[in-house]
Amino acid sequence: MPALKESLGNSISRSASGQYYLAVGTVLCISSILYVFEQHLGYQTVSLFLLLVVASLSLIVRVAPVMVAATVSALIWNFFFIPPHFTFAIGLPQDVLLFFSYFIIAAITGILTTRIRARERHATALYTFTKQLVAAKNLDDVAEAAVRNISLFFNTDIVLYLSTLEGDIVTTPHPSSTMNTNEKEQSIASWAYWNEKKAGKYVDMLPFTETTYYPISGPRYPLGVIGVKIKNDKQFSVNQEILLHNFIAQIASTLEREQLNELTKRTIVYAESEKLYKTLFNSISHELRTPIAAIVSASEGLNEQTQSTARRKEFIDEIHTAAERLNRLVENLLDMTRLESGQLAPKLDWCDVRDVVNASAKKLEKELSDHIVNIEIAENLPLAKLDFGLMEQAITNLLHNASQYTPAGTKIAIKVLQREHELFITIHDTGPGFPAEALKKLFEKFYRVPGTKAGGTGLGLSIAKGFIEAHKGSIAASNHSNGGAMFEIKIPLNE
Amino acid sequence: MNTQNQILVIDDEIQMRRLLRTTLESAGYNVTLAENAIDGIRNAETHRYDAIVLDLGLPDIDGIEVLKKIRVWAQYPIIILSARTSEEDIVTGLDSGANDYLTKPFRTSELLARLRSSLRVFQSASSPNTIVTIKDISIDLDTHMIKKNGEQIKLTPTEFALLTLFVRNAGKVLTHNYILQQVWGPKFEGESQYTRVYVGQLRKKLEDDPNNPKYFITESGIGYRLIVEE
Repeated sequence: MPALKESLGNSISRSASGQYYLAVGTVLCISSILYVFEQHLGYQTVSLFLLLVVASLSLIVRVAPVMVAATVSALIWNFFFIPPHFTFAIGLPQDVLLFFSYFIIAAITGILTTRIRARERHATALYTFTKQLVAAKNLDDVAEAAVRNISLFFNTDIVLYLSTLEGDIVTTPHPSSTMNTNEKEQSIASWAYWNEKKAGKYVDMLPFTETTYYPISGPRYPLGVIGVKIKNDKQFSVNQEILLHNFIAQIASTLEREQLNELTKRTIVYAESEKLYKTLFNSISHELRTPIAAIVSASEGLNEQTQSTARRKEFIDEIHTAAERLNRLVENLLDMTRLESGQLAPKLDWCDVRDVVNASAKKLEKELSDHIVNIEIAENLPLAKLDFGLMEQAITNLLHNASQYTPAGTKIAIKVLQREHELFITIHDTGPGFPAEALKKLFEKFYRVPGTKAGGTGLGLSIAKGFIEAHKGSIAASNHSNGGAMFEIKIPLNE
Repeated sequence: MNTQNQILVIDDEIQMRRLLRTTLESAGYNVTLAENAIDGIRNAETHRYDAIVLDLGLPDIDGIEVLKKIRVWAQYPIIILSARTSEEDIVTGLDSGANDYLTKPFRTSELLARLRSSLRVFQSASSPNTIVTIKDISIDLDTHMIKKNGEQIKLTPTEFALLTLFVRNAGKVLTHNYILQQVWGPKFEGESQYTRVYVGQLRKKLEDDPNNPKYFITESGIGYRLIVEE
């Protein structure tokens, strides 16, 4: 039913003259029917029926046609019904009173009803719009809802300019806008934005255009500008202006909400990157300073003539260890930068995985001298397409990790085998394993298991992961059921 | 060293030059220093050297270009120094005529070993021994007789060709492409799986533990080297 009423209302309200025809036609029609039954009803009852017609009309048509209907029906009642018939003269004085009362009641009913209807329409529109704004998930959703609702409800073309988070106007209209603009229009929009005042058509300021620009005011700076171009070229009524301002106020608060959301997100990202930078700075300055301090003091020690040969050897070893540590740090940082730059393209070539594993173990010969390393490689392992350097570094980092965080005498078993179409590498040590809470964070940049010995940046494992993933492979860490840490690497073998 | 070998060092870092001079002089070499490419090339043109140690990262001319320029007339060993992350540069350097390479940071013992073996390969190239002994392996290049611990080892013709190449360049790094060209021919460039498979077979037949090779050493991302010393 409401749909029918609406479509009826819409089709009638489309042409203004149609509303008058409807109003007068209905009054004439009902009057003729009433005229037939006048003897039975009496002319006073007729006035009640006519009042009913006028009141009903006010539900469908606008104020002016209702007023016409009220006037016409009053005159008809006077001319055809109030004795003496067929004159506008009224015989009885109380009928004069009745006639004027009729006219006033008809007019008031008509005006009030149409006004209530308009208000209800506005309230519904505002409600629908607010509902859509609440549902909007981002700035674009808000913009789209604003343009759609205003252009539909006010029968206008809309151009919408939003502001940036920094408070500047974006000079290109939002893509949801329903009309194009030129430079002149944009400058009017900018004026409205920066002065936070209405500008354009029907306004004193910059009226040489077809569009009126309304600023969307915000708490710190305007949130945007809405350009409204009325399609039938009829200036808004006071009520429509008020409604439009309500719409814009809704848009403003929603835009503000979305901008704050956006700002919060940015702040979080910024805080995270700052935290990362701090961690990087702290860990690296510490990692750099320690070996440098060792080199400085050991070389000073060497300079003293009184040192014994054994002592001098100690100093030299100290310098050597420090230099190697510095070198490892630089290599880790370079590797990390390669990964972070996102331009890590593995140079795949046929490799014997045996060679890769052996090269890693050889590189760490010194670090692993206190550990028992057992390499077990399947006999019939095929050649694999790998980037030798990257894979070697990945395995070196895992082995280095085992050498640093397990006590002397720990066994480290490296196994390589083929499982279906995957290369399967496991590195298992008999050390203390990982605390449960560390397992999830192990491969995060700069993460170090709490309570581990000083030295190390927390980059090694995340680099290993990055390099393995560059081969479309995966790495997982776990605690072996027999104790100790276990790394499992899987790399797809492309036949 | 009977006659003192003349070594030209081309490196732009003053600390590296100082260190290389000290290291090489204490090992009995005569050292000339050049701090940039132009200086280095001029020195190489006007004096006679036995070997050059060349840093690839020079400020004025790219080290590879310097290498190519000098290689046009000089036959003696050229050893290149480079940063770890530039494997490609090293391979290009070796394929453009460098005899060996070292990545910074390197051990002085390693530098001296490379220099020694390069000089030896160069100076003995004119009169190659036909019988070579590497610890418990003896190789007769004329009769194709290979023995390990007195036991005869049978090699296929390709394996023997590969072994010959290694023996003639003992101690020197050989890039995959160089090996492929020398043993299989120019059409096989880039097919490094051949070298991997055949080096694997040589290891199986000649190494004590093929999983942990002592003689046929892999040079990460570059190629192989036959170790004969120590």
